[in-house]
Amino acid sequence: MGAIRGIVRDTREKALADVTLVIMAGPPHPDLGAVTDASGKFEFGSLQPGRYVIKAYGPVESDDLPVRVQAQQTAYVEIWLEAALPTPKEDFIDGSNYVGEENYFGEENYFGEEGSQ
Amino acid sequence: METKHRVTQQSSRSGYLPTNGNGNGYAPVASYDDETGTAEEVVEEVAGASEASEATDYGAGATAEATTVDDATGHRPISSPVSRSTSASGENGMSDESAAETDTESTYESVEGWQESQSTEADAETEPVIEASYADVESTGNEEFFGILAGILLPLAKAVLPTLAGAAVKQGGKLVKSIVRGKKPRLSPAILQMLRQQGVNPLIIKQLELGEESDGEAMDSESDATDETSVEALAQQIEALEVVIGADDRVQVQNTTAVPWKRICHLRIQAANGKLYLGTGFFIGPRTILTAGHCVYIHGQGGWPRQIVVTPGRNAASTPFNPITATAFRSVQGWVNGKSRNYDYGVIQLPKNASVSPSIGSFGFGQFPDQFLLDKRLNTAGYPGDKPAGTMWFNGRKAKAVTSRTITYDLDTAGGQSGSPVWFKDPAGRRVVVGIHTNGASSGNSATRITKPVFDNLKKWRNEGSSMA
Repeated sequence: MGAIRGIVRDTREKALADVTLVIMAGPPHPDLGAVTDASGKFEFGSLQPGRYVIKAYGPVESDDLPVRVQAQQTAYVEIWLEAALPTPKEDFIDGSNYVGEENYFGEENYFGEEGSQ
Repeated sequence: METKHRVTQQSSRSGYLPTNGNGNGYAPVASYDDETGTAEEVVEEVAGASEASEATDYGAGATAEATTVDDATGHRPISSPVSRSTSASGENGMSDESAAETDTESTYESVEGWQESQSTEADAETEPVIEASYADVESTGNEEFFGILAGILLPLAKAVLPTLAGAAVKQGGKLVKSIVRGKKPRLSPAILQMLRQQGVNPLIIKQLELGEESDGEAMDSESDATDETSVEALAQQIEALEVVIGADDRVQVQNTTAVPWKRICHLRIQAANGKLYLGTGFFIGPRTILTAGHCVYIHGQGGWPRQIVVTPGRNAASTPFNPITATAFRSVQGWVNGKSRNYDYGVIQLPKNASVSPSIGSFGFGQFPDQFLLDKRLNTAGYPGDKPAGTMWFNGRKAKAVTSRTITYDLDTAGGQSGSPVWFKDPAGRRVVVGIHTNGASSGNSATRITKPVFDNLKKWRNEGSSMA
């Protein structure tokens, strides 16, 4: 039997707690989810030797992370999760149904105040 | 989103901590032959009416484990050190409340969003597998970490073969940035021929050929350097993963306060050494939660957990019933001492002073013949860790195979669903659990089957919990 131990951090090296680690593929294994503790650590124990794929689910999801487990060996995995940057808001505006902002009115499109004398 | 990871290998501290629990000395239970008996008989047994003792055959078909455990001791109950008195009180267990359910479907669960067609086994094994996989190929990646093999096969590996990507990563380097390539897969005729020789499904080979033709580009010269070992690994991975690369047909359970969902519990497990795990359990009595043995006795993590927080019917942040912290657990010698997958089951006994809503009810359970199980559509629901935290997901499908102690299926599950009920619905609408989901595997997920000895232990534990209610 072997094991996978690891730690999950953000890109500023801060440990991430409560990140769920899941084995996505591999030899038969207990279907437990592992959760990182306050120090960001997790462990899958009692694993048959073989090729596994694990994945981290925290503020963002990791990629599929391939890990090879060998008999009587522990594979150590360090994972850095970086939150996705917010998608920039599109500035482009379709002109067909839009009247643009104007800061100054010239004479040709200005109507002066009118009122009865 | 961007992910980096690094993998290193070191020798582990081998061995397992000694068992903390002490056996209660139950005598070996009566054996049985699961090939005999009618459905009616076993349905009666679910209600506790049948106690037939028949011949046994546990030798064949047992899942391989290094440790051999005989049945005389394997199913002997064993309790966590903090357990209360285990005096059982007759046969005054709960009635099967699920019988009162008004769902008109006879054999299958009804879940919003679930389509009967999703349950056909062909879904996971037919040709669209490849199309679905290619659809996942992401575009525009700049990072190159891999050796020759990865350069050729990684686009395919990323889409179809996560574990092959592992091989590529290890060849390429230690620190890995996200593995993304935008090009279509291109495989030389030589590699395709090698895959044929390895016995890879011809449908997959054809898809690979088509992919190359449509690309219309000459093969990179470095592709010829791919060695046979790598191709063999690729072939093995393709075959191993065929059953899991189909569409994910799990459906989220939205109304977790309805039957049977409220009887399914989210488990947050704190191991004896402080490590945290997620699992699933379900009510089989007023205070008894059935789950996997490895949820209540975790080998390599100190054995019996420090505590398990049980949340019935959890739905994301919503907890319709009070979460209950439990510290009393039961399993059997075959799991605790033998560590045999065939004995991977146990229960959580909720504390006597905990407030447990009587409206939750419990699942029925029973043991059934092989063909009976193979004919039934099986359901499972639990708390997979690859979905939003604390959400319950359902899946249903027929079993793929049964052994004397396990049930194997292509029901989609993920880490966190250990301990989920595997049940069928009888024509009267009663839910009857026939297995406890325990294992994930690329070759098929599996449950510990409820056999006669398991059934007897579950009755004992249910009555134990009932006596404390």
